Amino acid sequence: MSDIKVFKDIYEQNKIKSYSTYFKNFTKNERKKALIDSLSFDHYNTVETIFLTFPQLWKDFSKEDWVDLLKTSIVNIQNLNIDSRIVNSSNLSFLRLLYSYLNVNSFSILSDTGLSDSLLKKCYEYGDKYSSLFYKDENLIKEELEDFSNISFKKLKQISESLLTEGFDKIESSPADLSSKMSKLI
Amino acid sequence: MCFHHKPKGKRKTGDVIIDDVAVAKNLTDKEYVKFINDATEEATKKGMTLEGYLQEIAELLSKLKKYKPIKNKFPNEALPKNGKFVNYEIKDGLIILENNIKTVNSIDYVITLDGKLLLGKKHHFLGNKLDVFAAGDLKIVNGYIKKLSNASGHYFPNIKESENFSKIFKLMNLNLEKAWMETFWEESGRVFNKSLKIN
Repeated sequence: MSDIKVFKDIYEQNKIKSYSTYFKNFTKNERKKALIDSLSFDHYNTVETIFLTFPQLWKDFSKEDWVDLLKTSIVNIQNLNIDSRIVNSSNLSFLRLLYSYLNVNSFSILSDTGLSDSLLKKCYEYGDKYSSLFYKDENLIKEELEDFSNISFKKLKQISESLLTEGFDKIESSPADLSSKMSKLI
Repeated sequence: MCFHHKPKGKRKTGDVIIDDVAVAKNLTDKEYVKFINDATEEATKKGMTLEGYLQEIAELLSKLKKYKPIKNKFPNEALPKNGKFVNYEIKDGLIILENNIKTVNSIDYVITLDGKLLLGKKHHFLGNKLDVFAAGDLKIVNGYIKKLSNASGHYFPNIKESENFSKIFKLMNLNLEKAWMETFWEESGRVFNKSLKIN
């Protein structure tokens, strides 16, 4: 069965729980491909659902893996409009998910991706336009993990610490600060 | 015109009126028969008489009257081909989706002007291009609504409109005791959001 079929079942049939062990034996590259596939749905929350429900897809990712994933998810984007419909920029979702759930500054590794200046500009515009969505209430995250994920909040913190050690920057202290930083980079 | 089954309310010029509230408007004969059949089915599911069920709808619509409808911002767009309805039932304030699914991270909803909560994919489709009382998405866990949002690209409910959503859901006897309200809005070209526990 393809990843797309699995995600269609999740998106269209709401069958999250049927696939709890589906990705168990996937190689790292297969898992990256699955995450990229999750971006193809035109609903802003589908990629977040996949990300939260299947942490086994990404929980052992190193900084290099995230650089690779960000690059692959963004490099082929054409005609990206950073407008009020977040679904129109779903290919940039991992920037937001890394930032909000793993509490690491996803923009700080963009320079390692080799993306063109025009694509980097789109990323910064996204960070500026949606800066508020890059921050989540810690209690809400805990509830979300409890409801949908088999990863604990403590484990999430450990992953975050590890990624910071590997070279991610810390997140900006507020949405306004993130927005201001992004504005300067655009 | 003659209808075999006449509930307590009377039918005038294609409307079904209960206690001066139109629970259905501008129906053709065929639509009227469908309306009565659907209502009978719903009433049976709820263990109610048809009259009791229609009375309940009339009371709900009467309470909803104070809320201003939310405009579809793109009413002329074609309906999306990937729109779909998801059937559900409400038991003791909890939502059970078709196939007995009780947990879903995100499902689109609208509350129509005739007081129906419709669940599925794509607000424009669910609302059939028309104005609604509420639109966004729901997170449901074990039947409980855990998140209620105003995230809809077609209706884009503003902060003021969205403040009514939890009240409207409560009017529909939905359990919000574990729910958060996530509100999105746009200001100076930026999109903002906030999440608050519903009291």
